[in-house]
Amino acid sequence: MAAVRASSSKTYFSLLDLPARFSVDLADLEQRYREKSRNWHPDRFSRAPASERAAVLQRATELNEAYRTLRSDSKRAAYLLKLHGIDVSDERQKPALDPAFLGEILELREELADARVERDDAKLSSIKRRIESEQQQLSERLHAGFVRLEQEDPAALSELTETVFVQRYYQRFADDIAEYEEAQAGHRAVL
Amino acid sequence: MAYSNKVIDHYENPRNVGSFDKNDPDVGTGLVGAPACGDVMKLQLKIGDDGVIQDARFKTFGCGSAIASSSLVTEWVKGMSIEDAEKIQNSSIADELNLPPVKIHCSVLAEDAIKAAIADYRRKKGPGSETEKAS
Repeated sequence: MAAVRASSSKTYFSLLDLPARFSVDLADLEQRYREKSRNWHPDRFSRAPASERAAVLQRATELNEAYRTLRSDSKRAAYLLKLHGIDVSDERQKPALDPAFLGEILELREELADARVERDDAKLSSIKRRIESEQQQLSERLHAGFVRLEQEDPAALSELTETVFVQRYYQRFADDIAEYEEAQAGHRAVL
Repeated sequence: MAYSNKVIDHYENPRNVGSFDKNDPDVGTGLVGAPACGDVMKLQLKIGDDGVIQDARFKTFGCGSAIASSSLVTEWVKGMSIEDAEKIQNSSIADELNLPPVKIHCSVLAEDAIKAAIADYRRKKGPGSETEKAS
Protein backbone atom coordinates (compact mmCIF):
# COMPACT_ATOMS: atom_id res chain seq x y z
CA MET A 1 0.00 0.00 0.00
CA ALA A 2 1.41 3.37 -0.99
CA ALA A 3 2.11 5.84 1.76
CA VAL A 4 -0.67 8.37 2.11
CA ARG A 5 0.43 11.94 2.44
CA ALA A 6 -1.47 15.11 3.15
CA SER A 7 -2.49 16.72 -0.10
CA SER A 8 -2.51 20.39 0.84
CA SER A 9 -0.48 21.28 -2.24
CA LYS A 10 -3.04 19.65 -4.48
CA THR A 11 -5.86 21.50 -6.15
CA TYR A 12 -9.36 20.17 -6.68
CA PHE A 13 -8.41 19.76 -10.32
CA SER A 14 -5.25 17.80 -9.68
CA LEU A 15 -7.06 15.55 -7.17
CA LEU A 16 -9.15 14.40 -10.11
CA ASP A 17 -6.21 14.47 -12.58
CA LEU A 18 -7.76 17.28 -14.55
CA PRO A 19 -6.16 20.41 -15.98
CA ALA A 20 -7.17 23.60 -14.13
CA ARG A 21 -9.57 24.82 -16.81
CA PHE A 22 -13.12 26.13 -16.75
CA SER A 23 -14.25 23.83 -19.52
CA VAL A 24 -15.14 20.50 -17.92
CA ASP A 25 -16.92 17.42 -19.29
CA LEU A 26 -19.40 16.69 -16.51
CA ALA A 27 -19.84 13.00 -17.36
CA ASP A 28 -16.06 12.54 -17.34
CA LEU A 29 -15.82 14.47 -14.07
CA GLU A 30 -18.34 12.19 -12.41
CA GLN A 31 -16.59 9.06 -13.62
CA ARG A 32 -13.24 10.29 -12.30
CA TYR A 33 -14.82 11.14 -8.97
CA ARG A 34 -16.38 7.69 -8.65
CA GLU A 35 -13.13 5.90 -9.51
CA LYS A 36 -11.07 7.97 -7.08
CA SER A 37 -13.65 7.62 -4.36
CA ARG A 38 -13.47 3.87 -4.65
CA ASN A 39 -9.68 3.97 -4.33
CA TRP A 40 -9.85 6.20 -1.29
CA HIS A 41 -12.81 4.68 0.43
CA PRO A 42 -12.12 4.56 4.21
CA ASP A 43 -13.43 0.98 4.36
CA ARG A 44 -10.47 -0.18 2.31
CA PHE A 45 -8.10 1.13 4.96
CA SER A 46 -9.87 -0.24 8.01
CA ARG A 47 -6.78 -2.22 9.08
CA ALA A 48 -4.27 0.54 8.34
CA PRO A 49 -2.62 2.47 11.19
CA ALA A 50 -4.67 5.29 12.70
CA SER A 51 -2.55 8.04 11.15
CA GLU A 52 -3.02 6.57 7.71
CA ARG A 53 -6.74 6.12 8.25
CA ALA A 54 -7.01 9.79 9.19
CA ALA A 55 -5.16 10.80 6.03
CA VAL A 56 -7.42 8.60 3.91
CA LEU A 57 -10.49 10.13 5.47
CA GLN A 58 -9.11 13.57 4.76
CA ARG A 59 -8.47 12.62 1.15
CA ALA A 60 -12.00 11.23 0.77
CA THR A 61 -13.43 14.48 2.17
CA GLU A 62 -11.29 16.53 -0.20
CA LEU A 63 -12.50 14.45 -3.12
CA ASN A 64 -16.12 15.08 -2.20
CA GLU A 65 -15.46 18.78 -1.89
CA ALA A 66 -13.56 18.79 -5.19
CA TYR A 67 -16.43 17.11 -6.99
CA ARG A 68 -19.06 19.39 -5.46
CA THR A 69 -17.04 22.45 -6.43
CA LEU A 70 -16.07 21.46 -9.94
CA ARG A 71 -19.44 20.24 -11.14
CA SER A 72 -21.05 23.66 -10.57
CA ASP A 73 -20.26 26.41 -13.10
CA SER A 74 -20.37 29.17 -10.50
CA LYS A 75 -18.36 27.29 -7.87
CA ARG A 76 -15.79 26.15 -10.42
CA ALA A 77 -15.43 29.73 -11.66
CA ALA A 78 -14.99 31.05 -8.11
CA TYR A 79 -12.46 28.32 -7.36
CA LEU A 80 -10.41 29.07 -10.48
CA LEU A 81 -10.33 32.74 -9.48
CA LYS A 82 -9.13 31.68 -6.03
CA LEU A 83 -6.27 29.79 -7.67
CA HIS A 84 -5.48 33.14 -9.32
CA GLY A 85 -5.45 34.81 -5.90
CA ILE A 86 -8.95 36.34 -5.96
CA ASP A 87 -11.32 35.26 -3.19
CA VAL A 88 -14.82 36.27 -4.25
CA SER A 89 -16.35 34.97 -1.01
CA ASP A 90 -14.33 37.49 1.01
CA GLU A 91 -16.88 39.91 2.43
CA ARG A 92 -14.43 42.78 2.35
CA GLN A 93 -14.28 42.61 -1.43
CA LYS A 94 -15.93 45.67 -2.88
CA PRO A 95 -15.74 45.39 -6.61
CA ALA A 96 -16.62 48.44 -8.65
CA LEU A 97 -19.72 47.05 -10.28
CA ASP A 98 -21.78 49.10 -12.69
CA PRO A 99 -24.02 51.17 -10.35
CA ALA A 100 -26.93 50.65 -12.73
CA PHE A 101 -26.61 46.91 -12.13
CA LEU A 102 -27.49 47.15 -8.43
CA GLY A 103 -30.47 49.30 -9.39
CA GLU A 104 -31.65 46.61 -11.80
CA ILE A 105 -31.32 43.90 -9.18
CA LEU A 106 -33.22 45.98 -6.64
CA GLU A 107 -35.99 46.73 -9.16
CA LEU A 108 -36.29 43.06 -10.01
CA ARG A 109 -36.43 42.23 -6.31
CA GLU A 110 -39.22 44.74 -5.81
CA GLU A 111 -41.14 43.30 -8.76
CA LEU A 112 -40.77 39.84 -7.27
CA ALA A 113 -42.00 41.01 -3.87
CA ASP A 114 -45.03 42.70 -5.50
CA ALA A 115 -45.83 39.63 -7.60
CA ARG A 116 -45.81 37.51 -4.45
CA VAL A 117 -48.12 39.87 -2.59
CA GLU A 118 -50.47 40.00 -5.59
CA ARG A 119 -50.14 36.23 -6.13
CA ASP A 120 -49.46 36.98 -9.78
CA ASP A 121 -48.22 33.64 -11.09
CA ALA A 122 -47.69 34.88 -14.65
CA LYS A 123 -45.44 37.68 -13.37
CA LEU A 124 -43.59 35.27 -11.08
CA SER A 125 -42.76 32.91 -13.91
CA SER A 126 -41.76 35.78 -16.18
CA ILE A 127 -39.30 36.99 -13.50
CA LYS A 128 -37.98 33.46 -13.13
CA ARG A 129 -37.41 33.20 -16.88
CA ARG A 130 -35.55 36.52 -16.87
CA ILE A 131 -33.26 35.29 -14.09
CA GLU A 132 -32.63 32.03 -15.90
CA SER A 133 -31.81 33.81 -19.13
CA GLU A 134 -29.42 36.18 -17.30
CA GLN A 135 -27.73 33.19 -15.69
CA GLN A 136 -27.41 31.49 -19.06
CA GLN A 137 -25.75 34.59 -20.52
CA LEU A 138 -23.44 34.90 -17.53
CA SER A 139 -22.43 31.28 -17.95
CA GLU A 140 -21.53 31.95 -21.58
CA ARG A 141 -19.54 35.03 -20.53
CA LEU A 142 -17.64 32.86 -18.06
CA HIS A 143 -16.78 30.30 -20.72
CA ALA A 144 -15.54 33.00 -23.09
CA GLY A 145 -13.68 34.81 -20.30
CA PHE A 146 -11.79 31.75 -19.12
CA VAL A 147 -10.77 30.93 -22.68
CA ARG A 148 -9.27 34.44 -22.86
CA LEU A 149 -7.60 33.96 -19.48
CA GLU A 150 -5.96 30.78 -20.74
CA GLN A 151 -4.74 32.75 -23.75
CA GLU A 152 -3.23 35.17 -21.20
CA ASP A 153 -5.37 38.14 -22.09
CA PRO A 154 -4.43 40.63 -19.31
CA ALA A 155 -7.92 42.11 -19.03
CA ALA A 156 -9.63 38.74 -18.65
CA LEU A 157 -9.08 38.27 -14.89
CA SER A 158 -10.75 41.48 -13.73
CA GLU A 159 -13.66 40.99 -16.14
CA LEU A 160 -14.12 37.43 -14.92
CA THR A 161 -14.11 38.61 -11.32
CA GLU A 162 -16.87 41.07 -12.10
CA THR A 163 -18.87 38.40 -13.93
CA VAL A 164 -18.58 36.03 -10.96
CA PHE A 165 -19.77 38.77 -8.59
CA VAL A 166 -22.72 39.59 -10.83
CA GLN A 167 -23.49 35.90 -11.01
CA ARG A 168 -23.62 35.69 -7.21
CA TYR A 169 -26.37 38.29 -7.09
CA TYR A 170 -28.42 36.33 -9.60
CA GLN A 171 -27.66 33.06 -7.81
CA ARG A 172 -28.94 34.52 -4.57
CA PHE A 173 -32.05 35.62 -6.42
CA ALA A 174 -32.56 32.18 -8.00
CA ASP A 175 -32.07 30.49 -4.59
CA ASP A 176 -34.67 32.80 -3.12
CA ILE A 177 -37.16 31.89 -5.87
CA ALA A 178 -36.46 28.16 -5.39
CA GLU A 179 -36.96 28.47 -1.62
CA TYR A 180 -40.24 30.30 -2.11
CA GLU A 181 -41.50 27.70 -4.58
CA GLU A 182 -40.63 24.91 -2.16
CA ALA A 183 -42.44 26.70 0.65
CA GLN A 184 -45.47 27.20 -1.61
CA ALA A 185 -45.46 23.55 -2.65
CA GLY A 186 -45.30 22.57 1.02
CA HIS A 187 -48.15 24.94 1.79
CA ARG A 188 -50.31 23.45 -0.96
CA ALA A 189 -49.54 19.93 0.24
CA VAL A 190 -50.77 20.88 3.70
CA LEU A 191 -53.96 22.36 2.26
CA MET B 1 -26.85 30.53 14.96
CA ALA B 2 -29.31 32.49 17.04
CA TYR B 3 -30.18 36.08 16.23
CA SER B 4 -30.23 38.56 19.09
CA ASN B 5 -33.60 39.87 20.30
CA LYS B 6 -32.87 43.27 18.80
CA VAL B 7 -32.23 41.75 15.38
CA ILE B 8 -35.45 39.75 15.60
CA ASP B 9 -37.39 42.85 16.67
CA HIS B 10 -36.14 44.90 13.71
CA TYR B 11 -36.61 41.95 11.37
CA GLU B 12 -40.19 41.33 12.45
CA ASN B 13 -41.13 45.01 12.83
CA PRO B 14 -38.84 46.84 10.45
CA ARG B 15 -38.96 50.62 10.84
CA ASN B 16 -39.25 52.99 7.91
CA VAL B 17 -39.56 50.49 5.10
CA GLY B 18 -40.35 52.08 1.78
CA SER B 19 -39.17 54.59 -0.76
CA PHE B 20 -38.98 58.30 -1.46
CA ASP B 21 -38.99 59.72 -4.96
CA LYS B 22 -35.37 59.32 -5.98
CA ASN B 23 -35.65 62.38 -8.25
CA ASP B 24 -36.62 64.66 -5.35
CA PRO B 25 -33.72 67.14 -5.00
CA ASP B 26 -33.90 66.85 -1.18
CA VAL B 27 -33.55 63.07 -1.23
CA GLY B 28 -30.24 61.23 -1.25
CA THR B 29 -30.33 57.60 -2.34
CA GLY B 30 -27.67 55.06 -1.38
CA LEU B 31 -27.66 51.74 -3.16
CA VAL B 32 -25.14 49.18 -1.96
CA GLY B 33 -24.61 45.46 -2.28
CA ALA B 34 -22.64 42.67 -0.64
CA PRO B 35 -21.30 40.62 -3.51
CA ALA B 36 -20.17 37.77 -1.27
CA CYS B 37 -23.75 36.96 -0.30
CA GLY B 38 -25.80 38.81 -2.94
CA ASP B 39 -27.62 41.11 -0.49
CA VAL B 40 -28.83 44.50 -1.76
CA MET B 41 -29.73 47.52 0.36
CA LYS B 42 -31.34 50.83 -0.60
CA LEU B 43 -31.29 53.67 1.93
CA GLN B 44 -32.91 57.04 1.26
CA LEU B 45 -32.52 60.20 3.33
CA LYS B 46 -34.73 63.27 3.13
CA ILE B 47 -32.58 66.21 4.07
CA GLY B 48 -33.67 69.73 4.97
CA ASP B 49 -32.00 72.96 3.82
CA ASP B 50 -30.34 73.15 7.25
CA GLY B 51 -28.53 69.88 6.52
CA VAL B 52 -30.57 67.92 9.06
CA ILE B 53 -32.00 64.54 8.12
CA GLN B 54 -35.77 64.79 8.39
CA ASP B 55 -36.77 61.30 7.40
CA ALA B 56 -35.34 58.01 6.17
CA ARG B 57 -36.58 54.95 4.28
CA PHE B 58 -34.99 51.66 3.39
CA LYS B 59 -35.52 48.54 1.34
CA THR B 60 -33.22 45.63 1.94
CA PHE B 61 -33.24 42.26 0.27
CA GLY B 62 -31.04 40.03 2.34
CA CYS B 63 -30.68 38.23 5.63
CA GLY B 64 -32.19 39.24 8.97
CA SER B 65 -29.03 41.03 10.09
CA ALA B 66 -28.92 43.16 6.94
CA ILE B 67 -32.58 44.11 7.37
CA ALA B 68 -32.08 44.89 11.07
CA SER B 69 -28.93 46.97 10.38
CA SER B 70 -30.71 49.13 7.83
CA SER B 71 -33.87 49.44 9.94
CA LEU B 72 -31.78 50.55 12.91
CA VAL B 73 -29.87 53.23 11.00
CA THR B 74 -33.08 54.76 9.63
CA GLU B 75 -34.10 55.33 13.27
CA TRP B 76 -30.71 56.66 14.26
CA VAL B 77 -30.18 59.18 11.48
CA LYS B 78 -33.49 61.02 11.85
CA GLY B 79 -32.75 64.40 13.37
CA MET B 80 -29.00 64.08 12.79
CA SER B 81 -26.99 66.49 10.68
CA ILE B 82 -25.50 64.84 7.62
CA GLU B 83 -22.04 65.46 9.10
CA ASP B 84 -22.95 63.43 12.19
CA ALA B 85 -24.70 60.71 10.18
CA GLU B 86 -21.56 60.30 8.11
CA LYS B 87 -19.63 59.50 11.27
CA ILE B 88 -21.77 56.46 12.14
CA GLN B 89 -19.46 53.49 12.31
CA ASN B 90 -20.44 49.95 11.49
CA SER B 91 -19.10 48.87 14.90
CA SER B 92 -21.81 50.89 16.68
CA ILE B 93 -24.47 49.15 14.58
CA ALA B 94 -22.93 45.73 15.22
CA ASP B 95 -22.69 46.45 18.98
CA GLU B 96 -26.27 47.66 19.24
CA LEU B 97 -27.58 44.56 17.47
CA ASN B 98 -25.06 42.12 19.01
CA LEU B 99 -24.12 40.89 15.56
CA PRO B 100 -21.92 37.79 15.50
CA PRO B 101 -18.59 38.06 13.58
CA VAL B 102 -19.99 36.37 10.45
CA LYS B 103 -22.67 39.08 10.22
CA ILE B 104 -20.44 42.11 10.73
CA HIS B 105 -20.46 42.73 6.98
CA CYS B 106 -24.20 43.49 7.24
CA SER B 107 -23.42 46.46 9.48
CA VAL B 108 -20.68 47.55 7.06
CA LEU B 109 -23.30 47.52 4.34
CA ALA B 110 -25.54 49.84 6.38
CA GLU B 111 -22.65 52.24 7.07
CA ASP B 112 -21.79 52.27 3.36
CA ALA B 113 -25.45 52.91 2.50
CA ILE B 114 -25.55 56.06 4.68
CA LYS B 115 -22.37 57.35 3.07
CA ALA B 116 -23.64 56.55 -0.41
CA ALA B 117 -26.96 58.33 0.27
CA ILE B 118 -25.18 61.45 1.54
CA ALA B 119 -22.80 61.41 -1.43
CA ASP B 120 -25.80 61.19 -3.77
CA TYR B 121 -27.47 64.14 -1.99
CA ARG B 122 -24.33 66.25 -2.27
CA ARG B 123 -24.01 65.38 -5.94
CA LYS B 124 -27.58 66.56 -6.49
CA LYS B 125 -27.00 69.84 -4.67
CA GLY B 126 -23.87 70.47 -6.69
CA PRO B 127 -20.50 71.81 -5.57
CA GLY B 128 -21.59 75.46 -5.43
CA SER B 129 -24.63 75.01 -3.24
CA GLU B 130 -24.69 76.08 0.39
CA THR B 131 -26.43 73.14 1.98
CA GLU B 132 -23.49 72.05 4.10
CA LYS B 133 -23.54 74.79 6.66
CA ALA B 134 -26.31 77.29 7.38
CA SER B 135 -24.58 79.40 9.99
